[in-house]
Amino acid sequence: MEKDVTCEMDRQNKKRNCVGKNDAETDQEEEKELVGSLVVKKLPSEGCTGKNEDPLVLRTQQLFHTLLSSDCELGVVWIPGHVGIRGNEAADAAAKDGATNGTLVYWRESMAGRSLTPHYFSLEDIFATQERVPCKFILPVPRLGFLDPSSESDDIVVGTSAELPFWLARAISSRRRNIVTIDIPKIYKEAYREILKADACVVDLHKFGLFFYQFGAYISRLNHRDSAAIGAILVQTFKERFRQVMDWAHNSGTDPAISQRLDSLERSLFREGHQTQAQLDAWLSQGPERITAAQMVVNHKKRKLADLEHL
Amino acid sequence: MDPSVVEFLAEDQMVNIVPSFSCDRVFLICGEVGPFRAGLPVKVPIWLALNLRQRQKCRVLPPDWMNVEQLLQAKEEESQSRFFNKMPSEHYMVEGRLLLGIAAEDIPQADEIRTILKDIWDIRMSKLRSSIDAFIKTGGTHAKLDHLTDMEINSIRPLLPHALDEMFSLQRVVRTHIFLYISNIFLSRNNSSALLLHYFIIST
Repeated sequence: MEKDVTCEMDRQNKKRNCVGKNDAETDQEEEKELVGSLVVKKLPSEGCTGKNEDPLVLRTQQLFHTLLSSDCELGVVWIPGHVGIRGNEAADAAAKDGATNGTLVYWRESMAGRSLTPHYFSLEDIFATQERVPCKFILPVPRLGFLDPSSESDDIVVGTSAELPFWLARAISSRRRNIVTIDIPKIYKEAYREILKADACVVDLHKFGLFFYQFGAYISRLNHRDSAAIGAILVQTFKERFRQVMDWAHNSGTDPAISQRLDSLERSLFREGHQTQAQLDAWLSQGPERITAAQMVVNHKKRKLADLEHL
Repeated sequence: MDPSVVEFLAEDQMVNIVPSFSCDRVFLICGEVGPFRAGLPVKVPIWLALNLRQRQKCRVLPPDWMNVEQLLQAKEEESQSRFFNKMPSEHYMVEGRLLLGIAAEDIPQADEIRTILKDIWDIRMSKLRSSIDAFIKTGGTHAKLDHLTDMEINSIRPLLPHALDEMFSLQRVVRTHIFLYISNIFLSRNNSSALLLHYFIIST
């Protein structure tokens, strides 16, 4: 019996997720080690080693034994802290990088460095999730009345409508924490989708939203009955407008009005295409060049024969 | 890539020159050239030919394809065909521009050749643009274009791959969503099959 419990605890300790049932018969040494190692894991910054001299560890052990001697069922649970949470890991890495290399974290994505999933510190992604979505509260929220500027009360009552930033709305409308229901922003609703379906090229997408595609992709990820239709319209709009963007990039002068009708994604594509075209034009109109000797070669003094003889 | 990089690559093409000086073999990193005998044709890289020409030390013999008849024929074929034809030289535009820019006096009918080259370039560029447009509109995943030259590929390079990347990520959102939607329908009816489907989506 004793052995079984120890083994079980040992194994679960390794899994860092301990739920051990105890009945006071368990070996004291084993328990010490378990508590010790758990506390060490939780407090690595305090400089604890395996040996328990830290007053906090000793106090924990004391409590543990008091509990053991009382006749109750005891569970040991490891709480993961912030390990493995994406944002926390990214922030840790950035902080470490800043501390060791002294570099300031500033992540501006160029198209070239753009990956298929946006970087955690991508400014474009942060701005895109900052766009507001209409939400309706389905649970009362105390003391957050200020979110709804039209209400006088301290609390938010059920049924209140408010426009929340997407990152907040997404977090509080999940299945686990269902506080609000998200409605689709009007630019992705059927009426606007019909406009895009009719002719996407004449639309001033910049007026629809600065991050039409990125924000739209987030919206279409919501669990809504229109989601698939929104996703489809994003792809279709992109396809139809691409020719126009490419033509503008290759043929326009420096007319600022043109790029003002594009959303941020199209604009970065436009800028790239425009730059390539400018380089090509410059190359085509450039006159013949002449190969010259490098400055280093010109400045390099020849050694005199007399010097060589001395060597 | 900058067009000047493509130009740098194209400068390694060989061209015949008639030197007006005599010199032994010259050993270079890219290989040996020469020996030069005054009045006898010799094959050298374009960059060297142009440098010698600028210093009036040689006369450039135009490449075989650089004459009006052959280029007119190539232009005709290019405008007839829907596809890209094989060009007489892999770097026709760069070679033409370099040789006609510096050694125009050595090449017969240089002005006409320049015009025809520009025409061919324009025809091919407009073909390229319309085929890109068709490719994007049909939502194809791959396309095969034969006989495009480096300079032409370079002219669409950052734009097209990045547009395809963006389109792919938009399409991926739609696809994932459809999967999740189906799994949610299952979830409301039958718990175990929904879980199976979920694992399937996560594992694939």
